[in-house]
Amino acid sequence: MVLRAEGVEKSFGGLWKRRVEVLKGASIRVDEGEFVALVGENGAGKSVFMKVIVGLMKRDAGEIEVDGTGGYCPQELELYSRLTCDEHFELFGRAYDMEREDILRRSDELYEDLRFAKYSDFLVKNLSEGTKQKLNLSIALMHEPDLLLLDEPYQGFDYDTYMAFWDMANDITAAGNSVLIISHMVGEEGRLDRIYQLREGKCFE
Amino acid sequence: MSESDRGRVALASLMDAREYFRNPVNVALLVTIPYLFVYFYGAIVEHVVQNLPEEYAEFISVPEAYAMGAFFGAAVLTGLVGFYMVTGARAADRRLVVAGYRPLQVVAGRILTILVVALALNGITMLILSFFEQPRFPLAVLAATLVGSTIYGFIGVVVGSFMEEFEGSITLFWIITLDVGISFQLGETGSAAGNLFPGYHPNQVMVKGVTEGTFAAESFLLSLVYALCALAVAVAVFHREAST
Repeated sequence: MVLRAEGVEKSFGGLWKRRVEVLKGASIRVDEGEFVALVGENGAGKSVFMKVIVGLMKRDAGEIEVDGTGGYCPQELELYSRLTCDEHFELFGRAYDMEREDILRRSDELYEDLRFAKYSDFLVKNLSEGTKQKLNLSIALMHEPDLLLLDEPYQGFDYDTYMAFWDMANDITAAGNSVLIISHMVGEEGRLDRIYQLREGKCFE
Repeated sequence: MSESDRGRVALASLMDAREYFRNPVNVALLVTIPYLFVYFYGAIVEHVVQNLPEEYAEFISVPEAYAMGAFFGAAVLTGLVGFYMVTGARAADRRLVVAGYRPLQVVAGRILTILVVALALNGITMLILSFFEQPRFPLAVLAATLVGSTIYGFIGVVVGSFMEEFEGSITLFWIITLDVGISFQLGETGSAAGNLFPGYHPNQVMVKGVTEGTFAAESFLLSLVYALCALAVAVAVFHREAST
């Protein structure tokens, strides 16, 4: 088991705002080497659930257990607009406690796999949305985490990069690491080991 | 603090400074804001004095007005730097914390950058002030503007840590406006309420340096205490917001 979330509850609002219960006992499990998807309608709470798992939001109730290192790619671009791609790798590499040689090796590999090496010294604000998304995803991948948590990570990708992403994701699970992805899955069900649907605050397999 | 902690803080601070100085508008504001504040404060008061009867004019100090312009120009800009540095990178900072940085390391990087900006800004401010007016004790004025603007930089971090851009900038604007318009006058009336404003004690240091050529050590000490309190609150609020 790499991830186990049990009975997670999360609501918003309170004194001044209308109370909205988003998660009402959501549970999910991801095992080693598994490629698992979390699907659901817009507003079902998929991103909230992932943020709770990552630790970006506090849960109201429930248990979350992660065994190993995690890498998180948010749906929104959470980048520094006036830093270059190289500087993002340097900064986040330090956050992951990576050695300098490892940071350089992994950034080179990711530049090549996702085909954006020529933008390495570009400021983020000068990149196209697709290239920003490649960097957004690369930051989650660079330390080769045991569990990858991806929130619709391929928005803005062209077709070739989209296919390269799925190949990479399959390589990651083949190496024994696990992936939990929020996806709309247009014909990608065959690549996944399991699919959870988030409906009315709960997950159904 | 371990070597690894220092390395992380140094790297975060270096990246923050790069982000700040790579924006040409930020660099331009470092010169134009002090110039405009010094010029307008001084020129307006100078104009008023010239048009007042002599018995009234003697109560108004033109050199003090120029120095006040320098002080509030530096305070306003450093406050905005602290505020926008935090609001502009809030999501990325939280991601950095999720990746492994501790909130304290991230905020320490921000604080160091604010101090660097405050140093550069106050150097430029003093240079601009010297073109208009030579204070009797320039070092006292520099000390006052430096500590005052640093306090505002920390207040900017506090406000920016939990408020969105619109309401946060209005809040910051009102704190500064009340400070400029009320704190000094309240202090002169003997009201204790004036002492609570961020600019009150640094202003005392500045006024003594301009008009009497002396260094108000007690007011400077109180300014430093105020700055340390503002720093502690800034770190605590940033830590709380980045941890959840």
